[in-house]
Amino acid sequence: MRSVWIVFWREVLVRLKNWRFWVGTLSFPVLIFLVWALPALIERFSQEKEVQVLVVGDLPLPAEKTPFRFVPSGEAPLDSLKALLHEGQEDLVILVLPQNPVESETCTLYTAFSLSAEKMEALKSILTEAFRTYRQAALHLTSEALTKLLTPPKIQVYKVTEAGAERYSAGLATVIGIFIGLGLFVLLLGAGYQILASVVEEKSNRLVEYLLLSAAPTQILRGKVLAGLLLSVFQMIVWGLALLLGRSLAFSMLMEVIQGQLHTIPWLWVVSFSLLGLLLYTFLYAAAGATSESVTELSPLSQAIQWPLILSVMVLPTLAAAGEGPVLKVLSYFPLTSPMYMPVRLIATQVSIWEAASSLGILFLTLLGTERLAARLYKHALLLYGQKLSWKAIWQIIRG
Amino acid sequence: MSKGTRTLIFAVVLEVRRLSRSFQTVRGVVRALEGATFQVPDGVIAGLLGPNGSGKTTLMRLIMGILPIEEGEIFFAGRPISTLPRQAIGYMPEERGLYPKSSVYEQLLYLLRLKGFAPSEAKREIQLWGERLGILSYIHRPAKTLSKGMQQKAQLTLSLAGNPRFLLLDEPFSGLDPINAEEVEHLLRSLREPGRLILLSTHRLEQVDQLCDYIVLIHQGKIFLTGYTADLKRRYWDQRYYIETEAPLATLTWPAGVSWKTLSPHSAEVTLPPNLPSQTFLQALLLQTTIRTFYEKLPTVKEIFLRVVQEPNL
Repeated sequence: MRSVWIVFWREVLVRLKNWRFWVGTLSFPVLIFLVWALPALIERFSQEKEVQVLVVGDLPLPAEKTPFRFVPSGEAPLDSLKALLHEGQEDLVILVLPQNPVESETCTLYTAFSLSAEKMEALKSILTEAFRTYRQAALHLTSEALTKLLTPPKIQVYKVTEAGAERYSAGLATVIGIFIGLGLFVLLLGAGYQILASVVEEKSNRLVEYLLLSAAPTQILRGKVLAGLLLSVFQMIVWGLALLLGRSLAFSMLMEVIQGQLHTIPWLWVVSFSLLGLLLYTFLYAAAGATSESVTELSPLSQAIQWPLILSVMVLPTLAAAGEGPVLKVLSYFPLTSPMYMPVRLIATQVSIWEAASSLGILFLTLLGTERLAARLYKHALLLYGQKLSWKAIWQIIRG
Repeated sequence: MSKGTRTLIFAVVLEVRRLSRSFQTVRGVVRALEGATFQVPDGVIAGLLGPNGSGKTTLMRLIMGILPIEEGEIFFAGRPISTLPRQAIGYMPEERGLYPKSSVYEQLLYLLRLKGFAPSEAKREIQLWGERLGILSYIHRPAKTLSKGMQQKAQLTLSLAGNPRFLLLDEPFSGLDPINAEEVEHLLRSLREPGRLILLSTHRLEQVDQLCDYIVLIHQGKIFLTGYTADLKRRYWDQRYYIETEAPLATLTWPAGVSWKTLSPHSAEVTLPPNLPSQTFLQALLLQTTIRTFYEKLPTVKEIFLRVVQEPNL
């Protein structure tokens, strides 16, 4: 038992003393902050505009509850109300309540813009309370009994454009976003790990000086990255064909969602974002490999790189369903998430070309920077054989 | 022959001028090289000597262009070394290895192709040098199944491919057993010829004594000493002689100022004071005994090295 204890403590201390462990551990909370807290803060400071809700129907809604002001529409016909909405107007929506609020809780929201996920949640919460009050009065039920019966209200969103009102469906955007996210993740598991292992192998086998003598670090890394990607893409094709042949459940569901909508996908953008995203993540893996002495040290760093992808895929359905909002907007510019989120916005909402191009530009510049960083680390960190690379040393290498 | 006369006969092929390099480390800026200036003539095996951390590897990496030059210049055959074709330089770094799972042949081919050799050229060079170094019998085996000596020969094949004009070997004898070290030494001797410079760094100073015609001594990032080994030995000779006498040394009376180290009852290493010529010393001894052997004992490279490193002002 004493030996177990000694080994246990040594293992714990060695890992705790390694900065990579802390990068792996803290990357998740930092990311959570970036994904949720930061956009919420942005929204708090940037979108304090009150949204006026024209209400068609009868429910005991409050006159005002932040961030909404509810105004009964009176007898005005719906079409004339819709005419009030126009593109770019971000302070007016029309809420059509069910004709019989006792039997149905499905509401319809007409808007010229997309409400953020936070505002949609706030609206649902107000509606839930209104349905509860209405039904309690109509059915003479106790609050407890009603709680058991009440289902959350559903809001069908229709986007009003010059062409008319069209039901907003996040299905295709979600499928494409998740597909890109999972694709990147799977490709990285293959290509990224292969590159990472190859860099570590050259470092541990001390081949790097031979290589640096004959080729520039960027050339060596590009060769590795491209080879890794080619092999991973080949694997993906094989797996895709297997799905196609097997007509699996997942595949039929996918086909069902995208059936007939393929022409609406901006393929050029989707492919560009996916490709640059994949290259960016792969170079990050190469940089991580250059700073590590062994595969054991790599594990926390590769976790830190994978978190943005995993989180993106996790929250993507919710964000896509809510439509345009500050979170989606921020993530569509952030280089580690833009490969998934900008295609989602391009499919689900109306994004101007300059916006997409800016995001792609940021992604491209980040990719160039990462490639340079990876090459610098590859060259310098790998020449320092047998030396533990502290974060300070890495910072000095980066600074040159 | 004086040093000056030799410089006239042999053309300078490698010239390093005021080379400096520093590194930013966690402990601050470290000056690895400080104004290193030296020349090496053509056709020699030159030894780059220095204690650990003296700047040898940094100097080699700068010569090879693996590290960028911060200050100073390096010329080879009168031209900046950066203009020398890659195939004209053979380099064996101190930190060297092979892909453990690939066969020696596969990786030699890969690394030579990366260096700019056409596939057919690379194959020809592997065959040529592989045969000369005796690695063909195991060339198709994975590197991990080979002994250190075998791997080292494979790495040497890589450095020698293309018959380079400039061969830089960082610690070529490290990790080799005496038999393999002897083989490598023999090979290097066979490669010594006009038109080729072999510059090697090593800790095995006894090998430098036998192998190197020229020495560059580096210490704390500065060049302390350069010159032909024979000239330096003469320069650092301190009037030391080996003597063997008929009568036991203990019975003899030594001239004033002579110090000696007894090797056996009849032999010793004696050091004469500067004002005592060897003829006078011999005459004094011949009056007492018969002298069997008497010759100059030049310092070894190791002795010069230790003297310069430990007493740099000498």
